[in-house]
Amino acid sequence: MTHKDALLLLNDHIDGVLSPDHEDELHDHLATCPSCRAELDQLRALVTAAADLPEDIQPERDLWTGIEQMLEGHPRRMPASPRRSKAWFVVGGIGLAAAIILVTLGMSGILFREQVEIIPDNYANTASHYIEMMEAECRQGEVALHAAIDNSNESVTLVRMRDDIQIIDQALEESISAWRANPHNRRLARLVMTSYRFKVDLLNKAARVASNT
Amino acid sequence: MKRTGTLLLTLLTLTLFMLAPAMAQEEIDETRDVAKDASIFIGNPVGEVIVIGWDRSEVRIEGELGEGTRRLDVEGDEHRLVVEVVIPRRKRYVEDTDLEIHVPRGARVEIDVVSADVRVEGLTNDLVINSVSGDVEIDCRLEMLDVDSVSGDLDLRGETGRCSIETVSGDLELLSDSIKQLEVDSVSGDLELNLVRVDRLMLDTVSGEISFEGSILKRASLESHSGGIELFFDGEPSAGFEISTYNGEIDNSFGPRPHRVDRWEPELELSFESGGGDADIRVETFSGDVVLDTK
Repeated sequence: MTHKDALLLLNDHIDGVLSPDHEDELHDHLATCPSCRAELDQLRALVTAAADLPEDIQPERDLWTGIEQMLEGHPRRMPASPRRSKAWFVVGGIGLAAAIILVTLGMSGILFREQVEIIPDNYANTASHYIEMMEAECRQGEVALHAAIDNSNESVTLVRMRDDIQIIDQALEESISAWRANPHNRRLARLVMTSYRFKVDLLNKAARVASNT
Repeated sequence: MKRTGTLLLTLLTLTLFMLAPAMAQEEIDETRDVAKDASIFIGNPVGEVIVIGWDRSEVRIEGELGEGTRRLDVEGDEHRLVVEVVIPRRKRYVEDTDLEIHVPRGARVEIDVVSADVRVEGLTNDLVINSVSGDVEIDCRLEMLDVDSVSGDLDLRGETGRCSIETVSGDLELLSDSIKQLEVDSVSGDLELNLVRVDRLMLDTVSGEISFEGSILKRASLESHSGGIELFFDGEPSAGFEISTYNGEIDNSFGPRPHRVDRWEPELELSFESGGGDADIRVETFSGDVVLDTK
């Protein structure tokens, strides 16, 4: 099992929905990989933190329901979990503390890594839906990041990270524009998804740096 | 009476101010007995961390605690040891703490830094490094290496079983005889890889340039948005190639020329087999140019 394979399985492991074979493989990998063990610990902490969030934060829209409907007929891949849904939705609360942003980006980042692998047959529509969804996620993470940069005495690292987000945005602009002209082109859709994965990861990292600045 | 009290308070404050730096700048020289395969965690936000593998079943920590830091924690037992520079909460600026730490060669080591530079040599087991802006230099023969960095540059030498690297804007220079599996993600950092042999290779960048020299034995997947990808092989490779670029160029020195996928689109595609076709190599870019050549 590769490092990335293991990371993809951590979420389901926590939710208790992993098949016994995958559980065994993951268990073997965790025994030899301190990095994945750390990721698992972090994920557990995120789930706990998400569970402790106030109940009155309402999502702006029900993203998870949309994903479930879209993936009807593909239940194996993304079983709904109340904890995960909650964390996913909380990103709607712009202006929440950096810790909460970290929670939400962490969860959606893991979810997104799964999504890259699970695009079903109705390619153009599904890809379009994911792209809109990721755009909304990233937009809200960015608002929080810009606020963190403004409050961090111009941290050189954060400013450089903001520059890198602009590089990714440029890549997204170019690849989305090409993909919109060719919505059935799988390579273009994959390139768009890869750029979003980079953006979610970078926003996640930036939130961590901001919380330490 | 009130005056005397104020004077005493001032003197006490001054004394504490004079003593504090002396306490903070203390020399470090500590030794602990540990198992040969102990797990060792090292945390130092700013300054330098040098880790050297040796043949003794001991961890020796030498260095100087930077001004403004609170203390150095060395805690744990022979199987797991934590060496951590503690800085006061809410303290934004502390002076550099430089640590040189000898550990058993077979120890599993994890290093967490913010801006501290890291140098590691002589280890043989697992190594995990998390860094924000510090540069990282590694010269080891490791079972597993995992580096997560933001803007620091990475310079890696030696051999590794599994190697996973994430960087944002830091450049990576890697020189190795053998790596079984290498995964690298970079946003804008350039990747310069000189590998005699790699079994599995997965490289993703947004604008970072990729330059690879060496032999791919089993499988490679290289993807970039605007960064160019150059592959220089040791002679004619034994591999099947799937190359595509939406808006870049493909320059192939030892196989057929690319063709357009659609007459109305700039997308180029190139599929061919070379040698015995043992390895599978997939290269995909949006606008980065792709070069396939021999050294």
